[in-house]
Amino acid sequence: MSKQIASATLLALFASLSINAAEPAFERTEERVPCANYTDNKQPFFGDLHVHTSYSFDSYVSSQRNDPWDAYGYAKGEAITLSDADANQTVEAKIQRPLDFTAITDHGEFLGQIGMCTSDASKLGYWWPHCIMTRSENYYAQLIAMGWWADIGVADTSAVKEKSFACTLSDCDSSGKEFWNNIQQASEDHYDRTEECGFTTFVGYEYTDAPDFKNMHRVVIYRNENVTDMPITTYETGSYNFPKLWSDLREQCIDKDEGCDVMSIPHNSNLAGGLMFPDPKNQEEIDNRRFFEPLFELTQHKGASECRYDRLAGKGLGTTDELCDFEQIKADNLGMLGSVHGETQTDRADSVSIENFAPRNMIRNVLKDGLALEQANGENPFKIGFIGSTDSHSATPGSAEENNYVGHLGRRDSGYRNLQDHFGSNPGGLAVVWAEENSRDSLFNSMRNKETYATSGTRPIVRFFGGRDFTPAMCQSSSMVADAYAAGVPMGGDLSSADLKTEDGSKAPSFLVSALKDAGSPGNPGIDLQRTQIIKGWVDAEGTTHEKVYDIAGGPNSASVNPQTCAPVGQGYTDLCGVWTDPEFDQSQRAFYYVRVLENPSCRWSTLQCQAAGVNPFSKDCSAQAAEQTALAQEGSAFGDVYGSCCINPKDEPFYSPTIQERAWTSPIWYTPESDAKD
Amino acid sequence: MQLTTLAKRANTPLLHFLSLGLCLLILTAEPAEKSLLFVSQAQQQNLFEQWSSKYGQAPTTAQQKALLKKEIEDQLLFDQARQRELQNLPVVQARLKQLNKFLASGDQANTVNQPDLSLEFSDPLIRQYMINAMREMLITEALSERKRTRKAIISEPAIADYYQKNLKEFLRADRYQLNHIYVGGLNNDSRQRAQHLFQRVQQHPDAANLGDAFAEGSQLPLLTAKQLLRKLGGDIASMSPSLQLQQWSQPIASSYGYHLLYLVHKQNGTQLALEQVAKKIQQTLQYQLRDQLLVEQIEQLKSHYQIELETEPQPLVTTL
Repeated sequence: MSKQIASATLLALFASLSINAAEPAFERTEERVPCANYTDNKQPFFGDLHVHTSYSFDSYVSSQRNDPWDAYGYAKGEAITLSDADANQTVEAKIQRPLDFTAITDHGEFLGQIGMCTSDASKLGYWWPHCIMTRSENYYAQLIAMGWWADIGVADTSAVKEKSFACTLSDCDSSGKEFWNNIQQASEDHYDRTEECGFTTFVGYEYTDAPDFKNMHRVVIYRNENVTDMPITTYETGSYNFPKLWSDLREQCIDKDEGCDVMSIPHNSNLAGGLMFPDPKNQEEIDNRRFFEPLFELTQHKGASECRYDRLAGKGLGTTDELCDFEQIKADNLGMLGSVHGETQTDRADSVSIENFAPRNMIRNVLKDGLALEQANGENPFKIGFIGSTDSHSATPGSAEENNYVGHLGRRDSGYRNLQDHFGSNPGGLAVVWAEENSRDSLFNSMRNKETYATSGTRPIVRFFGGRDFTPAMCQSSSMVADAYAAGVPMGGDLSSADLKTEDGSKAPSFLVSALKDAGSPGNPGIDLQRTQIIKGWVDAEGTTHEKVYDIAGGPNSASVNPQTCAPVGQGYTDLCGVWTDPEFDQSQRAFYYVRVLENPSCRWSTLQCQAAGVNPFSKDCSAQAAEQTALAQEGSAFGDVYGSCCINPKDEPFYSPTIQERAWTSPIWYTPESDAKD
Repeated sequence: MQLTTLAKRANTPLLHFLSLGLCLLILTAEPAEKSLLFVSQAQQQNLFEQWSSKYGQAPTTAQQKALLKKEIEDQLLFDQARQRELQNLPVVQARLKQLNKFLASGDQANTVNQPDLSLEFSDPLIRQYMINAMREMLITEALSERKRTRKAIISEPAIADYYQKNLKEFLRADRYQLNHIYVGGLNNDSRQRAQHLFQRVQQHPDAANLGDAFAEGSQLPLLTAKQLLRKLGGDIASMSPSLQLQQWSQPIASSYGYHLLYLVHKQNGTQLALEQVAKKIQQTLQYQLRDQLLVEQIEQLKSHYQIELETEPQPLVTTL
C-alpha cells in the first residue's frame, strides 16, 4: 500500500512539475503566455528556417506569387496555389503534416527593389524594363530578368553593389522598408502567443553573397520581434565579407541592448567553392563566428553537405564512408541552377572531381579542421550544430516530402520542369529543435545551444547524450531522458576530461543514442529505421585529422522497394536504442561525435514523379517510355528531352540512385582534454 | 412664395409644352442596346480541352459551368477594360512594342514606334493584364465608394457576428497529460508483453518502470488529441477521450509499439475570447469583402450585357 501511495505521489509531483513550470529553463525576452505543454525534458519541434516568397527576386521572377502570409499559412496546413510550368496559377500545394515553427527568409538583397518592381504601379520605377520583365509571364523574359538580378547584385564580385535603375527613378528604400515591415507583420500575425503554442514564427531574411556563383549565403534569424531596422546585406558588406555581417549584427542588434538577439546560419557549403569556412583571420572573427553561427544548414533543396563519396571514382573527400553519396550536387557552385529545357547554360554546372572539390565544402571535414585549428591555436572556430531546411522559393515551408513535392522554384521546377531541369535537386530537409516548449525563446535558446538535428525531410525522433556512466540498461529505463540529462550532455554539448574522471583515473565517454522511426500520418506511414551510427572525428598529436563510422544499433539489411509501386519491401525497426563506449578513446585527443540515423530505402522524389508520368526508372523499357512521354510533353509547352533523366543508370552516375535512405544527423558532442577545455 | 403664385406659373403654355415634350421623349426613347457577350461552341470546346489536357480528365458538368462563368466574366472585364482604355497602361504598351518589334523582325523600325493595336485583342498576356487591372479597379472603386458613404469596411459588429457564427473555429481542444509505459515494436511478442505489464501494473505500480525507454521520455507534456496523433501516430489520439483519470489503460498501439497510458490530468477545452481572435477575423472578413465586392460589381455590370452561349445544334429529326 505504501508503495502505491509513493508512486501516486510521484506521479502527481511529475504532473505538477510539468504543468506549473513557473521558472522556465530559458530567459523569456518577450511578452507572451507560457505554453501549456512546457516540459523540462524537452520535446522535438519540426520546422523550416529557410523559405522564400514572392518578396525574393528569384521567386517572383519564376511566377511565384505567394507572400509571407501565404507561406506561413502553408506551414500551418493551409493550401496555397502555385504556378504550373506555363505560369498559370493552378497548382494546389498543401503540406501533409503542418510544421511547429517557420522562418520566412526572403533575400535581403533587392527587397526594396522587388518591392518597387512589383507592388506600386504609381511609381515610375515600376515601369522600368527590368521591372516589367521581372513581372512578365514570358519564360525567356523571366530568364533574362533573373540573369540581370544575379549580375547586378548577388553573383558579382564588387565591393560596392549596383542597384537597379528602377531605384534611380523611384525610392527603393521606402519599398524595402515596407516589405521588411510586412515580413515582421506576417511573422507576428502567424505567431501563436496563446498558451496553445501551436505555431512559432521567426523574423528572418537571407544574406545573399555569391561572388562568381560561389555560395556564401546565410539565413539570419532573430530571436524575437526586436530586429534591426533593415536587413544587413551585401549592399552594406560588399562581397567576400561575411565577417562584416556579424560585426554589423553585433553593432545594430546585440550591442543596442534593446532585447535584440540574432544568429546567422550558413548553408550549401557544397556550392561554396571552398569559401564558406576559411581559417579565421583574427580573434574577433573567431568570437563572432562562434557566437553568431552555432548552426549549419546541413541539407536542403540544393543538396547535402555532410560528406562526399564518389561511387564511380571509388573514393571520398577525406572519407571512405560510402553513405556519403547522398543527395550530392555534381558542381561546386550555384551555376548548377542554370538548366533550361534540360540543358545546362553554363560550364560552371559541370561535375567537379573529388580531387578538385574543396574539402571544406563538406561539414564533416570542417569539424575535423576545427579540432586541428584548436590544437594549433587554442580555439576551435568551427563548433557547429546541424539543422536542415528546404530553401523553398515557392513559399512552401516544410515541403520536404518526397511524395508531395511540387518543386521549390516557382514555374522553373513546376510539373515536368522539375524532372527536366532540377533532377539533381531534392525536396530538402527539416530543422528539429529539442525545446521545452514551442515558443521563440525556448526554440532560439536550444538553437544557440545546438540541441538540434537535421533530417532529410522525414520526421524520425533522435536523442543523443554523452557522459561518463551511461550503461545499456538506460535503454530499458522509463527515466532514460531525465537520467541522461542529469548524468551527461545532450547533442551540441561539450565533454571535457574532467567530466570523465573517476577515482581510478579516467573513463572513455559513453553515448546514448535513441531513435524512433517517423510516425508518419494517417494513410502515409513512416519508413522503418535501418540503423543508427556514430561518426567520430579526431585529431592526433601530429595534428592529423581522422574519422571513423560506427554502427550503434540495427545494421545493413536487405530492405528495398517494390519496383512497380515503390512500396517498402522488408522490415526494419520502429525504434532503436543503444549505448556505445568509444573503444579507441585517447583522452589526450580532441574529438567530436555525431549521430546519423538511416531509414530503410524508399523511392526518391524523382522516381515517384517519373512513375507518375508513365516512366519507370526500374523498368528495362524506361528509355522507350521516356521517349514516348517526352513526345507527348512536347505537344504541350515542353522543349528538349523531358524525361530522359528518369532512366539514368546509377552505375553511370557517381551520386544518383532511384532509391534513397532518408536520414537524420544530430549536432555533435565535442570532447576536449581538460587542460585545453574552454567551454 | 405663395401658393397662388405657384399655381399661376404652372398654368403657363411654355411649361405645358416642355412637360409634354419630356413625356414623349421618355415614351419614345429606345432602351440602350446591350453589348453582346458570346461564347461560341468552338470557344467552349477549347476551354474544356484545355482543362482536360491540364488535369487529365474531362471537366464535370459543374466544372464546365464554372469554366463558362469565368470565361463570360473575363470577356466582360476585358470589354470594360477596353472601354476605360486600359490598353494605355504602360505595361500593355510595353508588351505591344515588344510584340511589334518581334513581328517586324528588325527591318521596319517604324512599327515599333507605332504599335499595331489590333494585337491587344489577340495577345493572351495583354488580355490578362487588362483583366487583372480591371478587377483591381472594380474592387478599389467599390471600396472607395464604401468609404465615401462612410460605410465601415469591416465593422466591429461584423467581427462579433462572425465570431458568434463560427464559435467552433475558436474552440481550444481538450488536452491530456499522459504518462506511459512503452513496449517497443508492433509484433505479437510486444503486444503480449504490454498485456503482461498491464496486469502487473494494476497490482504493482512500480511496474511503471518496466517498460522500454522512449526517446521522448515516459511523461508526455500536455497535448491535444491532434498533437498526440502527430507525435505518436497509431490509435492513441482516438483513445485519449475515453481514458480514465489516474488509471492505466489497456495496451494501445502507436506507430512505434504498444503503450499503457496513465491519464495524469485532463484540461477541458476552452472557448477563445473575441478579443483574442478579432484581428484574425478582421483579416478573413477583409478577404471576403473584396471577393464579395467584386462579385457585386460584376453582377451589376452583367445587366448591361446580353449573354449568349452557343448551344450545340440539335440533331435533325427526319421522317421518311
